[in-house]
Amino acid sequence: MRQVDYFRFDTVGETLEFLEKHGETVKIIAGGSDLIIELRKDSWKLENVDKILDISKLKNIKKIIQSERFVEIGSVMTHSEIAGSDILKKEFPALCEASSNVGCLQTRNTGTIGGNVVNSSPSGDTLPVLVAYGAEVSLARDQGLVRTVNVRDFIKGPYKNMADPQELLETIILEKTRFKDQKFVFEKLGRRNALSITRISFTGVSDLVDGRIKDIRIVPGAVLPYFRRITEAENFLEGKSPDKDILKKAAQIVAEDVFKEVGQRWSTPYKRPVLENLAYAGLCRMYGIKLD
Amino acid sequence: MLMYLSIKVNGKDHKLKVSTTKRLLDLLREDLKLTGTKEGCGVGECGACTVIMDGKAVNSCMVLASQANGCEIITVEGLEENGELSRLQKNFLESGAVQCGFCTPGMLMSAKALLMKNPNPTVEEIKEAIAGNLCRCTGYKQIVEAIEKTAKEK
Ligand SMILES: Cc1cc2nc3c(=O)[nH]c(=O)nc-3n(C[C@H](O)[C@H](O)[C@H](O)COP(=O)(O)OP(=O)(O)OC[C@H]3O[C@@H](n4cnc5c(N)ncnc54)[C@H](O)[C@@H]3O)c2cc1C
Ligand code: FES
Ligand code: FES
Repeated sequence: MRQVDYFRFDTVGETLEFLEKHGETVKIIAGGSDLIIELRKDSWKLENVDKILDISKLKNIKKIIQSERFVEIGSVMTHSEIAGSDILKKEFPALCEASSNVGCLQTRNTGTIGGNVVNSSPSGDTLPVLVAYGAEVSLARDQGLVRTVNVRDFIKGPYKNMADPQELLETIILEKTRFKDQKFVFEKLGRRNALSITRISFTGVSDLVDGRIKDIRIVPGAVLPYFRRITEAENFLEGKSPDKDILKKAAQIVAEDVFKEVGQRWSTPYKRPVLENLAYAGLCRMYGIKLD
Repeated sequence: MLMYLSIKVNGKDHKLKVSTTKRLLDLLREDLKLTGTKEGCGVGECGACTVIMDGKAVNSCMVLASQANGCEIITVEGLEENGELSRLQKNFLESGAVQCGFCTPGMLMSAKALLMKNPNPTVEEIKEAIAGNLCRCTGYKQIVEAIEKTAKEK
């Protein structure tokens, strides 16, 4: 175990001041479900780190608030809290679905959404959903400096993001969708397996108006080094009435688009049909179409 | 660095001086000699080290003791009622839910956390609550039955 000093403050203000002062030598700890493993391995990523700063009990970022247009999720909300939130179940049900799919209950009880975002793993389960909903993160720094960044832009690559060591991810901001009849799905391989964490996922969100697909967002997880919408498949589906043939075609477009970017690798023959089937099953479930 | 922390374990307050990077699991086993809590994988995947922290099941190998400062913990040693095994523990024994027993303390704590929050869980809810607790011996059926039985008795 890497030896580090431990700090915890009562307010966000003191936390930011401490971060500003100590920069790269301090690492934030929220639930610790990613960081403690790094500490135990004494990972090279922690080379300059000799302090950890516990934010998990900061009251100001442990709540969900909503206004007429927005919902703001404090970064230290745990996956269990997200999965159980009535506001989120109503406005952003796919996020609840993703959080309730993270690891096992013990991990969901400590692991936070902020940790999931800042860890920036390609298999981070909340990330594709946040991208689908167009979420932003607010990054705070001492002296009242705050910037908001799209989650899509925030993730720079596997385990890489835009946050400076002096910044705290304070909240995740979601604009309400105004969907009339929200259809959603978060589908992950090996759903009930608490063990594996490198898994392909499929997120779909849309409105359904008079039986037609409207404003659809499709984001696969754990197949690209970052997260993006598959606009080609979205454009194909927009305005159509969902049936098996159409959804099958859309799933093909998803797989084609992703693997055009990834290129041919040793894993492509395995992963491509897996993603295609997952996308098809996901889209069918999303629109309540029974698979044979 | 060493730090002082206060922690309530099984209803008893403790003030301890521990290393800032000590895991809650080690604090329980080494400092408080509560060796009922087991270490299996040490990386959050087996549930053998499950304890209840402020009402919720957590893996004590994935929590730093310093993070548990000011929290209330229940371990398997805290389950007994008036010096006897609790109904939950007895039902585990009677249903054949204990074979080698290594997973049992963690399994009991996940079950206890569930029943504290939800006294009448469905089989699905029971399975979900113990999904993070691995058992190599029983095949889970007897464990689910023991928890179901406990819920029905209440
Ligand atoms: C057994 C197991 C199973 C898992 N299964 C899954 C799974 O199925 N899906 C999944 O997506 N993940 C999974 N994970 C990974 C992990 O639980 C999640 O990524 C979790 O959301 C991380 O949150 P945390 O609060 O524990 O992060 P921490 O470990 O506390 O922090 C992670 C990183 O983020 C930084 N950080 C945290 N919060 C902030 C903040 N507010 N501002 C700035 N920096 C911050 C920390 O410095 C650290 O670098 C699993 C982990 C384990 C141990
Ligand atoms: S020892 Fe903690 S989960 Fe396995
Ligand atoms: S009884 Fe042996 S691991 Fe469960």
